[in-house]
Amino acid sequence: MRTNFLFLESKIFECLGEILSETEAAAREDKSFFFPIKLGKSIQLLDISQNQKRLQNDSQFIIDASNVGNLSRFVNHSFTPNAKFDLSAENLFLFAIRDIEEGEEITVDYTMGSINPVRNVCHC
Amino acid sequence: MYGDIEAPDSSSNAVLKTLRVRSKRKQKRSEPIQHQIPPPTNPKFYVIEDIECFYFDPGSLELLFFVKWKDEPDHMKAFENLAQVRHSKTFKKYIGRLYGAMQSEIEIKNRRLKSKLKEKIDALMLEPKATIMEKIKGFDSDEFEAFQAVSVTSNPYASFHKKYEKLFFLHHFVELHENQLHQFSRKRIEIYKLENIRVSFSNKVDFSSPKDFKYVTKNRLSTGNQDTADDCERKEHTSELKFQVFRKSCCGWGIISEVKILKGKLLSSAAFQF
Repeated sequence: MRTNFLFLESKIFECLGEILSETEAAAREDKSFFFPIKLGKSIQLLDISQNQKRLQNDSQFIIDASNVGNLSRFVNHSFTPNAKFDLSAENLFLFAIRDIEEGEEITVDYTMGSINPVRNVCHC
Repeated sequence: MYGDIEAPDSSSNAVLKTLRVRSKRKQKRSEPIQHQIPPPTNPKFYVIEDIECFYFDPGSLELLFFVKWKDEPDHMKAFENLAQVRHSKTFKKYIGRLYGAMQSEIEIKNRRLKSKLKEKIDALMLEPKATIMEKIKGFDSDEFEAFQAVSVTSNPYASFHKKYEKLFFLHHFVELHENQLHQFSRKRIEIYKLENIRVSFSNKVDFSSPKDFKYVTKNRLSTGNQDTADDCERKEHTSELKFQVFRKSCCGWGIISEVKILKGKLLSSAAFQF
């Protein structure tokens, strides 16, 4: 059954990239766009039939946005973020956790939450 | 100041009298000017038939082109500067012909010039982008192309080579800027086509662009390196979404929302499989 889902928090866009298993991720040199995701048991995995089984068996998988991705790869770190990455059903989304003003940079706190992008934290 | 004009008083007659006198004076002054204006004539347009040669004028540091005008006798041929010929197809063909005939020599010369100017280019690259943009503000690409096309012809004037060197130096940065705008535009169109999201790119720091990546609308599995139609399936968002990807002065790139995003407001609805 396909249905529309309403969020209490505002969904900005989905975090997309290449899906890697832990082993595949370890072999990659550039880890600057990694988004590791730990899955809860109740969460169903990606709707990609061929690889569903393999990913279900993995406890963690990584979205690597360095070569393929979308706008989420430009989201930077802040200790006072206005957005967060979170899993919704089988997808990783970026949510607004407060009102984001026009002209305001969209940021997430890489150090908080269950999904922490392995990216260099800039303190500027 | 007003000569025989009476100073205006409160009575309306006096005011009217003053205005009449002023009006007469105005008419008097304007009459001879009207006679000086020549009657309108139909402007004559000259069409460039051919450009026969060029000449570098060391005084004005300009290239002049010897023009044969269409339907005009030979004695009307004249040296014209770039401003007079730049929009002509004949001129563009002439420059193209000159460049084509000497292309390999020009490329060699440019390579030498680039290595000669390397230190100067590197030094300017360290300056803020605003300073560089200010320097290239008046750059004339037509002038550069004309100078480049004739750059390997024997020219006795040191000022010619100096001028070409200056144009070549500025052209390096103009090219960087144009390439950057091209990259931004390509990515902006790609994102809009795939997601209907309006994104602009801005870099006030340097001439770099975001690292090239394939824009997708679905996650891709690591095993499938080849592109699939699914990866790039068009997604329909509401047109409210508008972002700007910008270069941060301290580190990498960031993303700004150009519209207010309210917490709790649904920006896009998505279908999920349960």
